[in-house]
Amino acid sequence: MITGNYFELLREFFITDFKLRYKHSYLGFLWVVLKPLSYYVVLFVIWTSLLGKGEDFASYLMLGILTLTYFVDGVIFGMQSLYNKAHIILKVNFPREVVVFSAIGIAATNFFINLGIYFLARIVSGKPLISEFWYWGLLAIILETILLLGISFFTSIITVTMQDIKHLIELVLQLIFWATPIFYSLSSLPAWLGQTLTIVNPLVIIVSLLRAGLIGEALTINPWHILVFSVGVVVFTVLGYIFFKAKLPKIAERF
Amino acid sequence: MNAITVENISKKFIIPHRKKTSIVEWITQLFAKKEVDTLHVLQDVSFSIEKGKTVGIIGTNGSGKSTLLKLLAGIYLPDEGTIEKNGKVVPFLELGVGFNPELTGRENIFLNGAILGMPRAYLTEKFDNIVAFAELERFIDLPIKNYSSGMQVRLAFSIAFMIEADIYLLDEVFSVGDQKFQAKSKKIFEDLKSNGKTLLLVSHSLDTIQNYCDQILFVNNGRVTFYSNVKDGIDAYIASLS
Repeated sequence: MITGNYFELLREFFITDFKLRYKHSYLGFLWVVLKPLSYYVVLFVIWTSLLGKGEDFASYLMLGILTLTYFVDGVIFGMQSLYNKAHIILKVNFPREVVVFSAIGIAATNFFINLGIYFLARIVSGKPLISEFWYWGLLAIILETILLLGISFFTSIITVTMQDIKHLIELVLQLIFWATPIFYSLSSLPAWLGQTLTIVNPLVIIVSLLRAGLIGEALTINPWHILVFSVGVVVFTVLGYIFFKAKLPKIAERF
Repeated sequence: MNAITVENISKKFIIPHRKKTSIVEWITQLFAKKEVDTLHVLQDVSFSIEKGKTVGIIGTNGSGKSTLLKLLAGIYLPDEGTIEKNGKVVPFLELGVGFNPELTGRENIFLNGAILGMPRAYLTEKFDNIVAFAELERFIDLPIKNYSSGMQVRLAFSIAFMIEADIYLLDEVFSVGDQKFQAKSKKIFEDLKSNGKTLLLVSHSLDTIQNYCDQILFVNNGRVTFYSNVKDGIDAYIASLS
Protein backbone atom coordinates (compact mmCIF):
# COMPACT_ATOMS: atom_id res chain seq x y z
CA MET A 1 0.00 0.00 0.00
CA ILE A 2 1.37 3.37 -0.99
CA THR A 3 0.46 5.97 1.58
CA GLY A 4 1.52 9.39 2.73
CA ASN A 5 0.81 11.33 -0.40
CA TYR A 6 -2.96 11.33 -0.31
CA PHE A 7 -3.36 15.05 -0.94
CA GLU A 8 -0.60 15.24 -3.51
CA LEU A 9 -2.33 12.55 -5.51
CA LEU A 10 -5.68 14.30 -5.13
CA ARG A 11 -4.07 17.51 -6.37
CA GLU A 12 -2.53 15.80 -9.41
CA PHE A 13 -5.76 14.05 -10.39
CA PHE A 14 -7.69 17.26 -9.88
CA ILE A 15 -5.34 19.41 -11.95
CA THR A 16 -5.02 16.83 -14.72
CA ASP A 17 -8.73 16.15 -15.03
CA PHE A 18 -9.54 19.82 -14.94
CA LYS A 19 -7.01 20.60 -17.66
CA LEU A 20 -8.02 17.72 -19.87
CA ARG A 21 -11.75 18.26 -19.63
CA TYR A 22 -11.58 21.37 -21.73
CA LYS A 23 -8.31 20.88 -23.55
CA HIS A 24 -9.65 19.84 -26.91
CA SER A 25 -12.34 22.39 -27.41
CA TYR A 26 -12.13 25.74 -29.14
CA LEU A 27 -13.80 27.54 -26.28
CA GLY A 28 -11.87 25.50 -23.74
CA PHE A 29 -12.37 26.70 -20.25
CA LEU A 30 -15.29 28.95 -21.29
CA TRP A 31 -17.52 25.88 -21.39
CA VAL A 32 -17.61 25.93 -17.60
CA VAL A 33 -19.42 29.24 -17.80
CA LEU A 34 -21.30 28.79 -21.06
CA LYS A 35 -23.51 25.95 -19.96
CA PRO A 36 -25.23 27.65 -17.02
CA LEU A 37 -25.22 30.96 -18.86
CA SER A 38 -27.10 29.58 -21.84
CA TYR A 39 -29.65 27.94 -19.55
CA TYR A 40 -29.99 31.26 -17.89
CA VAL A 41 -30.51 33.27 -21.06
CA VAL A 42 -33.14 30.92 -22.44
CA LEU A 43 -35.10 30.59 -19.21
CA PHE A 44 -34.83 34.27 -18.44
CA VAL A 45 -36.06 35.44 -21.83
CA ILE A 46 -38.94 32.99 -21.98
CA TRP A 47 -40.04 33.42 -18.43
CA THR A 48 -39.87 37.20 -18.29
CA SER A 49 -41.77 37.52 -21.56
CA LEU A 50 -44.43 35.12 -20.32
CA LEU A 51 -44.93 36.58 -16.89
CA GLY A 52 -42.94 39.81 -16.83
CA LYS A 53 -41.18 38.97 -13.58
CA GLY A 54 -39.52 41.68 -11.55
CA GLU A 55 -35.89 42.59 -11.20
CA ASP A 56 -34.95 40.05 -8.55
CA PHE A 57 -35.96 37.21 -10.81
CA ALA A 58 -32.57 37.40 -12.52
CA SER A 59 -30.72 36.47 -9.33
CA TYR A 60 -33.41 34.02 -8.27
CA LEU A 61 -33.08 32.17 -11.57
CA MET A 62 -29.28 32.26 -11.62
CA LEU A 63 -29.00 30.72 -8.15
CA GLY A 64 -31.41 27.99 -9.18
CA ILE A 65 -29.32 27.20 -12.24
CA LEU A 66 -26.08 27.24 -10.25
CA THR A 67 -27.48 24.76 -7.75
CA LEU A 68 -28.68 22.46 -10.50
CA THR A 69 -25.49 22.68 -12.60
CA TYR A 70 -23.36 21.84 -9.58
CA PHE A 71 -25.58 18.85 -8.89
CA VAL A 72 -25.59 17.58 -12.48
CA ASP A 73 -21.80 18.04 -12.86
CA GLY A 74 -21.12 16.38 -9.53
CA VAL A 75 -23.37 13.40 -10.19
CA ILE A 76 -21.97 12.78 -13.68
CA PHE A 77 -18.29 13.32 -12.84
CA GLY A 78 -18.60 11.31 -9.63
CA MET A 79 -20.40 8.42 -11.28
CA GLN A 80 -17.67 7.98 -13.90
CA SER A 81 -14.76 8.62 -11.57
CA LEU A 82 -13.70 5.04 -10.81
CA TYR A 83 -14.54 3.70 -14.25
CA ASN A 84 -12.46 6.38 -15.97
CA LYS A 85 -9.44 5.48 -13.85
CA ALA A 86 -9.69 1.71 -14.46
CA HIS A 87 -6.32 1.64 -16.26
CA ILE A 88 -4.59 3.03 -13.18
CA ILE A 89 -6.59 1.08 -10.61
CA LEU A 90 -5.53 -2.16 -12.29
CA LYS A 91 -1.85 -1.32 -12.00
CA VAL A 92 -1.23 0.62 -8.82
CA ASN A 93 -2.68 0.36 -5.35
CA PHE A 94 -3.43 3.94 -4.35
CA PRO A 95 -6.22 5.23 -2.08
CA ARG A 96 -9.16 4.86 -4.47
CA GLU A 97 -11.46 7.43 -2.88
CA VAL A 98 -9.11 10.12 -4.16
CA VAL A 99 -10.73 9.83 -7.62
CA VAL A 100 -14.19 10.53 -6.17
CA PHE A 101 -12.93 13.54 -4.22
CA SER A 102 -11.20 14.81 -7.32
CA ALA A 103 -14.38 14.47 -9.41
CA ILE A 104 -16.50 16.36 -6.88
CA GLY A 105 -13.68 18.88 -6.51
CA ILE A 106 -13.91 19.66 -10.22
CA ALA A 107 -17.69 20.06 -10.04
CA ALA A 108 -17.25 22.34 -7.01
CA THR A 109 -14.64 24.41 -8.84
CA ASN A 110 -17.03 24.89 -11.76
CA PHE A 111 -19.68 25.93 -9.27
CA PHE A 112 -17.46 28.51 -7.58
CA ILE A 113 -16.34 29.97 -10.91
CA ASN A 114 -19.98 30.46 -11.86
CA LEU A 115 -20.78 31.81 -8.42
CA GLY A 116 -17.98 34.32 -8.97
CA ILE A 117 -19.65 35.45 -12.17
CA TYR A 118 -22.94 35.75 -10.35
CA PHE A 119 -21.24 37.94 -7.73
CA LEU A 120 -19.73 40.04 -10.49
CA ALA A 121 -23.18 40.62 -11.93
CA ARG A 122 -24.44 41.60 -8.49
CA ILE A 123 -21.58 44.09 -8.09
CA VAL A 124 -22.22 45.61 -11.52
CA SER A 125 -25.90 46.01 -10.78
CA GLY A 126 -25.08 47.54 -7.40
CA LYS A 127 -26.80 44.93 -5.29
CA PRO A 128 -25.54 43.37 -2.07
CA LEU A 129 -23.53 40.18 -2.55
CA ILE A 130 -25.05 38.26 0.31
CA SER A 131 -27.97 38.71 2.65
CA GLU A 132 -27.88 38.92 6.42
CA PHE A 133 -28.81 35.24 6.43
CA TRP A 134 -25.56 34.29 4.63
CA TYR A 135 -25.12 31.23 6.84
CA TRP A 136 -28.02 29.50 5.05
CA GLY A 137 -26.10 29.90 1.79
CA LEU A 138 -23.02 28.36 3.33
CA LEU A 139 -25.08 25.47 4.67
CA ALA A 140 -26.57 24.95 1.19
CA ILE A 141 -23.15 24.63 -0.44
CA ILE A 142 -21.84 22.31 2.29
CA LEU A 143 -24.92 20.07 2.14
CA GLU A 144 -24.87 19.86 -1.64
CA THR A 145 -21.19 18.90 -1.61
CA ILE A 146 -21.70 16.22 1.05
CA LEU A 147 -24.72 14.90 -0.82
CA LEU A 148 -22.74 14.69 -4.08
CA LEU A 149 -19.99 12.74 -2.34
CA GLY A 150 -22.58 10.33 -0.94
CA ILE A 151 -24.23 9.80 -4.30
CA SER A 152 -20.85 9.29 -5.97
CA PHE A 153 -19.74 6.72 -3.40
CA PHE A 154 -22.68 4.59 -4.50
CA THR A 155 -22.81 5.33 -8.22
CA SER A 156 -19.07 5.14 -8.91
CA ILE A 157 -19.03 1.53 -7.67
CA ILE A 158 -22.28 0.55 -9.38
CA THR A 159 -21.17 2.07 -12.70
CA VAL A 160 -18.20 -0.30 -12.82
CA THR A 161 -20.41 -3.37 -13.01
CA MET A 162 -23.52 -1.89 -14.54
CA GLN A 163 -22.70 0.71 -17.13
CA ASP A 164 -26.22 1.49 -18.20
CA ILE A 165 -26.94 2.99 -14.81
CA LYS A 166 -25.84 6.20 -16.49
CA HIS A 167 -28.97 6.26 -18.63
CA LEU A 168 -31.09 5.89 -15.53
CA ILE A 169 -29.16 8.68 -13.85
CA GLU A 170 -29.51 10.95 -16.88
CA LEU A 171 -33.25 10.39 -16.69
CA VAL A 172 -33.33 11.18 -12.99
CA LEU A 173 -31.31 14.35 -13.61
CA GLN A 174 -33.81 15.45 -16.25
CA LEU A 175 -36.67 14.90 -13.83
CA ILE A 176 -34.83 16.79 -11.13
CA PHE A 177 -34.51 19.76 -13.47
CA TRP A 178 -38.30 20.02 -13.69
CA ALA A 179 -38.88 19.09 -10.06
CA THR A 180 -36.65 21.86 -8.71
CA PRO A 181 -37.94 25.41 -8.35
CA ILE A 182 -35.36 26.93 -10.68
CA PHE A 183 -37.55 29.22 -12.75
CA TYR A 184 -40.83 28.83 -10.88
CA SER A 185 -41.33 29.29 -7.17
CA LEU A 186 -42.41 26.60 -4.77
CA SER A 187 -45.23 28.77 -3.43
CA SER A 188 -46.81 29.02 -6.89
CA LEU A 189 -47.44 25.27 -6.81
CA PRO A 190 -50.38 23.66 -5.01
CA ALA A 191 -49.39 23.06 -1.39
CA TRP A 192 -49.43 19.26 -1.59
CA LEU A 193 -47.15 19.29 -4.63
CA GLY A 194 -44.73 21.71 -3.04
CA GLN A 195 -44.53 19.55 0.07
CA THR A 196 -44.05 16.38 -1.93
CA LEU A 197 -41.21 17.91 -3.94
CA THR A 198 -39.56 19.17 -0.77
CA ILE A 199 -39.52 15.64 0.55
CA VAL A 200 -38.49 13.72 -2.57
CA ASN A 201 -36.08 16.17 -4.17
CA PRO A 202 -33.10 17.20 -2.03
CA LEU A 203 -32.37 20.16 -4.30
CA VAL A 204 -35.58 21.92 -3.21
CA ILE A 205 -34.23 22.55 0.27
CA ILE A 206 -30.72 23.26 -0.95
CA VAL A 207 -31.81 25.87 -3.49
CA SER A 208 -34.11 27.51 -0.93
CA LEU A 209 -31.24 27.74 1.54
CA LEU A 210 -28.91 29.21 -1.09
CA ARG A 211 -31.44 31.85 -2.05
CA ALA A 212 -32.14 32.68 1.59
CA GLY A 213 -28.43 33.13 2.16
CA LEU A 214 -27.59 35.15 -0.93
CA ILE A 215 -30.69 37.18 -1.82
CA GLY A 216 -32.55 37.00 1.48
CA GLU A 217 -35.53 35.15 0.12
CA ALA A 218 -37.89 34.20 2.95
CA LEU A 219 -37.28 30.62 4.03
CA THR A 220 -40.63 28.84 4.02
CA ILE A 221 -39.22 25.52 5.14
CA ASN A 222 -39.59 24.54 8.77
CA PRO A 223 -36.18 24.66 10.59
CA TRP A 224 -36.83 21.20 11.98
CA HIS A 225 -37.21 19.92 8.46
CA ILE A 226 -33.85 21.51 7.58
CA LEU A 227 -32.21 19.84 10.57
CA VAL A 228 -33.66 16.43 9.72
CA PHE A 229 -32.62 16.89 6.10
CA SER A 230 -29.04 17.85 7.08
CA VAL A 231 -28.68 14.85 9.35
CA GLY A 232 -30.18 12.67 6.61
CA VAL A 233 -27.64 13.91 4.05
CA VAL A 234 -24.74 13.19 6.41
CA VAL A 235 -26.06 9.72 7.29
CA PHE A 236 -26.60 8.94 3.60
CA THR A 237 -23.04 9.94 2.75
CA VAL A 238 -21.59 7.95 5.64
CA LEU A 239 -23.53 4.90 4.43
CA GLY A 240 -22.22 5.61 0.92
CA TYR A 241 -18.68 5.66 2.24
CA ILE A 242 -19.18 2.38 4.09
CA PHE A 243 -20.61 0.81 0.92
CA PHE A 244 -17.72 2.21 -1.13
CA LYS A 245 -15.10 0.91 1.27
CA ALA A 246 -16.76 -2.50 1.45
CA LYS A 247 -16.86 -2.93 -2.33
CA LEU A 248 -13.43 -1.43 -2.99
CA PRO A 249 -11.13 -4.40 -2.33
CA LYS A 250 -12.75 -6.37 -5.14
CA ILE A 251 -13.26 -3.52 -7.57
CA ALA A 252 -10.13 -4.23 -9.62
CA GLU A 253 -11.65 -7.58 -10.59
CA ARG A 254 -14.89 -6.05 -11.81
CA PHE A 255 -13.63 -3.90 -14.66
CA MET B 1 14.64 -11.96 7.41
CA ASN B 2 11.92 -12.55 4.89
CA ALA B 3 10.81 -9.70 2.67
CA ILE B 4 7.72 -11.56 1.52
CA THR B 5 5.96 -14.49 3.11
CA VAL B 6 3.05 -16.02 1.24
CA GLU B 7 1.02 -18.71 2.93
CA ASN B 8 -1.57 -20.89 1.24
CA ILE B 9 -3.00 -18.23 -1.01
CA SER B 10 -5.64 -19.07 -3.59
CA LYS B 11 -7.26 -16.84 -6.12
CA LYS B 12 -10.14 -17.67 -8.37
CA PHE B 13 -12.06 -15.55 -10.80
CA ILE B 14 -15.70 -16.11 -11.45
CA ILE B 15 -16.48 -15.58 -15.08
CA PRO B 16 -20.17 -15.38 -15.89
CA HIS B 17 -21.10 -16.81 -19.28
CA ARG B 18 -23.13 -13.72 -19.84
CA LYS B 19 -21.89 -10.62 -18.18
CA LYS B 20 -24.64 -8.41 -16.89
CA THR B 21 -23.86 -4.88 -17.92
CA SER B 22 -27.34 -3.44 -18.08
CA ILE B 23 -30.19 -3.06 -15.65
CA VAL B 24 -32.59 -5.04 -17.83
CA GLU B 25 -30.19 -7.97 -17.97
CA TRP B 26 -29.68 -7.69 -14.28
CA ILE B 27 -33.42 -7.89 -13.61
CA THR B 28 -34.22 -10.58 -16.19
CA GLN B 29 -31.39 -12.75 -14.94
CA LEU B 30 -32.12 -12.19 -11.29
CA PHE B 31 -33.94 -15.48 -11.02
CA ALA B 32 -32.24 -17.26 -13.86
CA LYS B 33 -29.82 -20.02 -13.07
CA LYS B 34 -26.38 -18.52 -12.94
CA GLU B 35 -24.00 -20.03 -15.42
CA VAL B 36 -20.47 -19.27 -14.45
CA ASP B 37 -17.02 -20.60 -15.02
CA THR B 38 -14.67 -20.56 -12.13
CA LEU B 39 -11.10 -20.00 -13.09
CA HIS B 40 -8.67 -21.10 -10.42
CA VAL B 41 -5.74 -18.92 -11.28
CA LEU B 42 -3.67 -19.71 -8.21
CA GLN B 43 -4.21 -22.64 -5.87
CA ASP B 44 -2.69 -23.06 -2.44
CA VAL B 45 0.47 -21.11 -3.13
CA SER B 46 3.11 -20.75 -0.43
CA PHE B 47 6.63 -19.42 -0.59
CA SER B 48 8.87 -16.97 1.15
CA ILE B 49 11.47 -14.64 -0.24
CA GLU B 50 14.48 -13.54 1.71
CA LYS B 51 15.33 -9.87 1.90
CA GLY B 52 17.85 -8.78 -0.73
CA LYS B 53 17.18 -11.63 -3.14
CA THR B 54 16.31 -11.26 -6.79
CA VAL B 55 13.66 -13.74 -7.75
CA GLY B 56 12.65 -14.53 -11.28
CA ILE B 57 9.04 -15.46 -11.95
CA ILE B 58 8.66 -17.66 -14.99
CA GLY B 59 5.79 -19.51 -16.58
CA THR B 60 3.80 -19.59 -19.79
CA ASN B 61 1.23 -16.97 -20.77
CA GLY B 62 -1.88 -17.30 -18.65
CA SER B 63 -0.16 -19.37 -16.00
CA GLY B 64 -0.92 -16.82 -13.28
CA LYS B 65 2.26 -14.73 -13.14
CA SER B 66 0.49 -11.40 -13.45
CA THR B 67 -2.18 -12.39 -10.96
CA LEU B 68 0.55 -13.33 -8.52
CA LEU B 69 2.20 -9.92 -8.95
CA LYS B 70 -1.15 -8.14 -8.57
CA LEU B 71 -1.79 -10.05 -5.35
CA LEU B 72 1.64 -9.08 -4.06
CA ALA B 73 0.99 -5.48 -5.09
CA GLY B 74 -2.31 -5.44 -3.21
CA ILE B 75 -4.40 -4.76 -6.31
CA TYR B 76 -6.23 -8.06 -5.89
CA LEU B 77 -7.02 -9.64 -2.56
CA PRO B 78 -6.46 -13.38 -2.12
CA ASP B 79 -9.59 -15.48 -1.57
CA GLU B 80 -7.71 -17.52 0.99
CA GLY B 81 -4.35 -17.35 2.66
CA THR B 82 -2.13 -14.51 3.78
CA ILE B 83 0.56 -12.34 2.28
CA GLU B 84 3.01 -10.66 4.61
CA LYS B 85 5.31 -7.96 3.33
CA ASN B 86 8.20 -6.40 5.22
CA GLY B 87 8.97 -3.01 3.77
CA LYS B 88 7.62 -0.68 1.13
CA VAL B 89 6.45 -2.38 -2.05
CA VAL B 90 6.34 -0.66 -5.42
CA PRO B 91 4.62 -2.32 -8.34
CA PHE B 92 5.92 -1.76 -11.86
CA LEU B 93 3.33 -3.87 -13.61
CA GLU B 94 3.38 -1.47 -16.47
CA LEU B 95 5.52 1.56 -17.15
CA GLY B 96 3.88 4.96 -17.39
CA VAL B 97 0.70 4.19 -15.49
CA GLY B 98 -1.69 7.10 -15.94
CA PHE B 99 0.43 8.76 -18.63
CA ASN B 100 -1.77 11.08 -20.57
CA PRO B 101 -0.85 11.74 -24.20
CA GLU B 102 -2.24 15.28 -24.09
CA LEU B 103 -0.02 16.34 -21.22
CA THR B 104 3.59 17.40 -21.59
CA GLY B 105 6.48 15.28 -20.41
CA ARG B 106 6.88 17.64 -17.47
CA GLU B 107 3.22 17.31 -16.43
CA ASN B 108 3.31 13.55 -16.82
CA ILE B 109 6.33 13.28 -14.55
CA PHE B 110 4.35 14.82 -11.71
CA LEU B 111 1.16 12.89 -12.48
CA ASN B 112 2.81 9.49 -12.87
CA GLY B 113 5.12 10.18 -9.93
CA ALA B 114 2.17 11.01 -7.67
CA ILE B 115 0.33 7.87 -8.76
CA LEU B 116 3.43 5.88 -7.85
CA GLY B 117 3.45 7.55 -4.46
CA MET B 118 6.19 10.16 -4.73
CA PRO B 119 5.68 13.55 -3.09
CA ARG B 120 5.78 16.59 -5.34
CA ALA B 121 8.74 18.12 -3.50
CA TYR B 122 10.72 14.94 -4.07
CA LEU B 123 9.83 14.91 -7.77
CA THR B 124 10.84 18.55 -8.11
CA GLU B 125 14.18 17.72 -6.55
CA LYS B 126 14.72 14.74 -8.85
CA PHE B 127 13.23 16.40 -11.92
CA ASP B 128 16.52 17.17 -13.69
CA ASN B 129 17.79 13.65 -13.01
CA ILE B 130 14.66 12.11 -14.47
CA VAL B 131 14.82 14.22 -17.62
CA ALA B 132 18.53 13.65 -18.06
CA PHE B 133 18.25 9.91 -17.59
CA ALA B 134 15.43 9.74 -20.12
CA GLU B 135 17.50 11.96 -22.48
CA LEU B 136 14.50 14.18 -23.15
CA GLU B 137 15.86 17.63 -22.25
CA ARG B 138 14.73 19.17 -25.54
CA PHE B 139 11.27 17.63 -25.55
CA ILE B 140 10.16 17.81 -21.96
CA ASP B 141 7.58 20.54 -22.59
CA LEU B 142 5.99 18.82 -25.57
CA PRO B 143 2.83 16.73 -25.18
CA ILE B 144 3.95 13.13 -25.02
CA LYS B 145 1.63 12.17 -27.88
CA ASN B 146 4.39 13.67 -30.02
CA TYR B 147 6.99 11.35 -28.48
CA SER B 148 8.05 8.12 -30.09
CA SER B 149 7.09 5.01 -28.16
CA GLY B 150 10.73 4.58 -27.17
CA MET B 151 10.85 8.10 -25.75
CA GLN B 152 7.65 7.53 -23.76
CA VAL B 153 8.91 4.35 -22.27
CA ARG B 154 12.26 5.92 -21.40
CA LEU B 155 10.47 8.70 -19.56
CA ALA B 156 8.26 6.20 -17.74
CA PHE B 157 11.26 4.11 -16.74
CA SER B 158 13.17 7.14 -15.49
CA ILE B 159 10.28 8.25 -13.26
CA ALA B 160 9.60 4.78 -11.92
CA PHE B 161 13.11 4.15 -10.72
CA MET B 162 13.27 7.34 -8.68
CA ILE B 163 11.14 5.60 -6.06
CA GLU B 164 12.83 4.53 -2.90
CA ALA B 165 11.34 1.22 -1.83
CA ASP B 166 12.35 -2.09 -0.33
CA ILE B 167 10.53 -4.51 -2.59
CA TYR B 168 10.18 -4.01 -6.34
CA LEU B 169 7.69 -5.95 -8.45
CA LEU B 170 8.81 -5.78 -12.04
CA ASP B 171 6.84 -7.04 -15.01
CA GLU B 172 9.01 -7.12 -18.12
CA VAL B 173 10.36 -3.64 -17.60
CA PHE B 174 14.01 -4.14 -18.38
CA SER B 175 13.64 -4.67 -22.06
CA VAL B 176 12.70 -1.12 -22.99
CA GLY B 177 14.55 1.37 -25.12
CA ASP B 178 17.46 0.98 -27.46
CA GLN B 179 20.78 -0.73 -26.70
CA LYS B 180 22.23 2.34 -25.07
CA PHE B 181 19.22 2.82 -22.82
CA GLN B 182 19.11 -0.84 -21.94
CA ALA B 183 22.68 -0.63 -20.78
CA LYS B 184 21.71 2.25 -18.52
CA SER B 185 18.70 0.43 -17.16
CA LYS B 186 20.80 -2.66 -16.44
CA LYS B 187 23.03 -0.41 -14.38
CA ILE B 188 20.03 0.73 -12.32
CA PHE B 189 18.99 -2.85 -11.84
CA GLU B 190 22.45 -3.82 -10.61
CA ASP B 191 22.50 -0.85 -8.24
CA LEU B 192 19.18 -1.94 -6.73
CA LYS B 193 20.57 -5.43 -6.31
CA SER B 194 23.76 -4.29 -4.66
CA ASN B 195 21.82 -1.97 -2.35
CA GLY B 196 20.10 -5.00 -0.89
CA LYS B 197 16.67 -4.42 -2.41
CA THR B 198 14.33 -7.33 -2.92
CA LEU B 199 13.39 -7.71 -6.57
CA LEU B 200 10.69 -9.87 -8.13
CA LEU B 201 11.08 -10.02 -11.84
CA VAL B 202 8.68 -11.43 -14.39
CA SER B 203 10.41 -12.08 -17.67
CA HIS B 204 10.15 -14.31 -20.68
CA SER B 205 13.81 -13.79 -21.37
CA LEU B 206 15.60 -16.75 -19.85
CA ASP B 207 18.88 -14.90 -20.41
CA THR B 208 17.75 -12.09 -18.15
CA ILE B 209 16.55 -14.58 -15.56
CA GLN B 210 19.77 -16.54 -15.69
CA ASN B 211 21.97 -13.46 -15.46
CA TYR B 212 20.24 -11.62 -12.67
CA CYS B 213 18.15 -13.92 -10.52
CA ASP B 214 19.18 -15.78 -7.40
CA GLN B 215 16.05 -17.89 -7.17
CA ILE B 216 13.06 -18.89 -9.26
CA LEU B 217 9.32 -19.02 -8.80
CA PHE B 218 7.94 -21.28 -11.50
CA VAL B 219 4.23 -20.72 -12.06
CA ASN B 220 2.48 -23.59 -13.79
CA ASN B 221 -1.29 -24.14 -13.95
CA GLY B 222 -1.96 -22.18 -10.79
CA ARG B 223 0.73 -23.95 -8.79
CA VAL B 224 3.91 -22.20 -7.80
CA THR B 225 7.14 -24.05 -7.22
CA PHE B 226 10.08 -22.38 -5.54
CA TYR B 227 13.60 -23.19 -6.72
CA SER B 228 16.59 -21.94 -4.80
CA ASN B 229 18.73 -22.91 -7.74
CA VAL B 230 18.06 -20.90 -10.91
CA LYS B 231 19.13 -23.66 -13.27
CA ASP B 232 16.71 -26.18 -11.70
CA GLY B 233 13.86 -23.72 -12.10
CA ILE B 234 14.64 -23.02 -15.71
CA ASP B 235 14.99 -26.72 -16.44
CA ALA B 236 11.57 -27.38 -14.91
CA TYR B 237 10.09 -24.60 -17.01
CA ILE B 238 11.64 -25.90 -20.22
CA ALA B 239 10.53 -29.42 -19.38
CA SER B 240 6.95 -28.18 -18.94
CA LEU B 241 6.98 -26.66 -22.42
CA SER B 242 7.63 -29.88 -24.24
